[in-house]
Amino acid sequence: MSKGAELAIEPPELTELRVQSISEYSWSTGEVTGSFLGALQKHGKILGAVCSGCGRVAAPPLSYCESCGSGISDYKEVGPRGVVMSWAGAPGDTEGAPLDGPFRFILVRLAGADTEMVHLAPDDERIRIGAAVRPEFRPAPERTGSITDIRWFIPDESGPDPEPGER
Amino acid sequence: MRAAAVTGTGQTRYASRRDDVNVCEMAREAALRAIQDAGLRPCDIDAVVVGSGAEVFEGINYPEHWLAPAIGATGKPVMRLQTGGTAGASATIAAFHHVISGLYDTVLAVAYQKLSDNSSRDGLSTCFDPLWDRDFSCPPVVLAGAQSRQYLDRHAPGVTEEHGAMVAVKNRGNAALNPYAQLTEPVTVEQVMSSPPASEPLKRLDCCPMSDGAVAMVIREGREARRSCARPAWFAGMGACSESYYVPHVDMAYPESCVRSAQQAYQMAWVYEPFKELDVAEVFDAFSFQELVWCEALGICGPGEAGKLVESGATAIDGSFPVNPSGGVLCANPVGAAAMVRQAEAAMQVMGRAGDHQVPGVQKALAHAWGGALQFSTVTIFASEL
Repeated sequence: MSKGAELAIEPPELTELRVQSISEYSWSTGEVTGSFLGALQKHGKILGAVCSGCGRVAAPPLSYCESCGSGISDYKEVGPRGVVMSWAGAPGDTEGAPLDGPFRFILVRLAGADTEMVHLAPDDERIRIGAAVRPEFRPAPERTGSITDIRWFIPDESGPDPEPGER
Repeated sequence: MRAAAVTGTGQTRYASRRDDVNVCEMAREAALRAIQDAGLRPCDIDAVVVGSGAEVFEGINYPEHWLAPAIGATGKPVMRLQTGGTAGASATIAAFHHVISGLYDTVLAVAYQKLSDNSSRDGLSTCFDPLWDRDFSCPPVVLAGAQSRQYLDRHAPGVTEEHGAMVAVKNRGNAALNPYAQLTEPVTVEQVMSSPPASEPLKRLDCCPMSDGAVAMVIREGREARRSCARPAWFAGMGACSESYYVPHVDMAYPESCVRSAQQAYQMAWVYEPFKELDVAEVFDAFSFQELVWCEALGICGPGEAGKLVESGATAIDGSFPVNPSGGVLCANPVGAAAMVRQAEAAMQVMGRAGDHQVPGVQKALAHAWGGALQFSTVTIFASEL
């Protein structure tokens, strides 16, 4: 005899409990990230951080060096030109995707920086490893003090492609 | 340091949706199978360690408080570890430390993930750091696409997109021999190459599925292990390493954390030439090209040589160095459990309990995993003798 037959219990129809949970957060940026975002929003400048120990320039900046663990000694303006170090195609039609329609996810190393940053680029054949790119900033009134104040990086054919790692 | 060995493993079948069980029941399935496989009863377990990925996948924070009674942890110490894709391996490492320290003699390690409880696209975006990364939060497939691109670019023309397809073909074939695997239908190189793009250069058949599933292992102190198990899988080497959380800071085509954790494990296990001295490897191939990247970073072959390695048939289940005889992560990916699945499969190979996908005469087996955005690496080596 199957379970519950005596009590006329039928097999369960309800196999899911659906709940949507939404929370609000306000993340502290910290001094270094706050300075970076302020420079981006107010002046359209991209800051890197110079490590006090090994001199490595990290862009985007962190208050600690990921290479040697030291603090930072100063800021340094980097870019705006950069070189694509890797990329992947993204369809852009997925839920929550940062852009509608196809785009390219890129790792870009800005001139004067020793590290790369994550950003986006148009779905353009010219976006490939080693290609020079430059940021397209949003108009000043639209900026919010976020990394997306740079809309994306577009091909920059104003000069020869830089060698990867060129300072 | 005391010796420790795996004396029992248990897995659930992996599926895109397990509607017949909740999170606790699913973990319980694997836990009870492992305890039974070890010839024990739940009361024989001294302590329990749980591993699972980000809480947001199931939307249950602090899940171990719900889970503990279901997996026999009542009246015993329980802890949970979370290191993304390596969570399951981290749980095993903690259980191993519990035993070799002398604190406990018999420890159960359990790992699970029920990805179908949430659209993991939404869940994953909250794993990105909110200041730099989240606005560009792309699915893991896009990250793996960039990794594959970097790897292909570095080693062209020695490695091609077809080499990735060969990995997918091989592992699907192996999965057909594994009763727990999720994707078992055979595919051909042509089918992989012509499957729809997922994230260029990755095609859909280069990518793992999303899975519900759980795995567990019983880890015992040396004397108990010898007494209770005819052929235990001894922990011979262990390595774990982390590097930057921020993708651009990682050499994705040759991640340092993987190289270093392999070096740690080889040193501990006295392995000098992995290709000659190890018999089989289970590596975390969530995407086909990753198997090639890991083979190189683990020193199974040199940089740029993994394409030729898969092409030669050496990594086939009947080759000289089988890689992922279980079908690997490509054929089932319960994220927070997948790293322990690699360990359980490697242990099963040493114990001679891998069934239809058993590689004959395995003395030493390696299990590898990566987690975070390529931030965490773990390497475990099991041996039939210490």
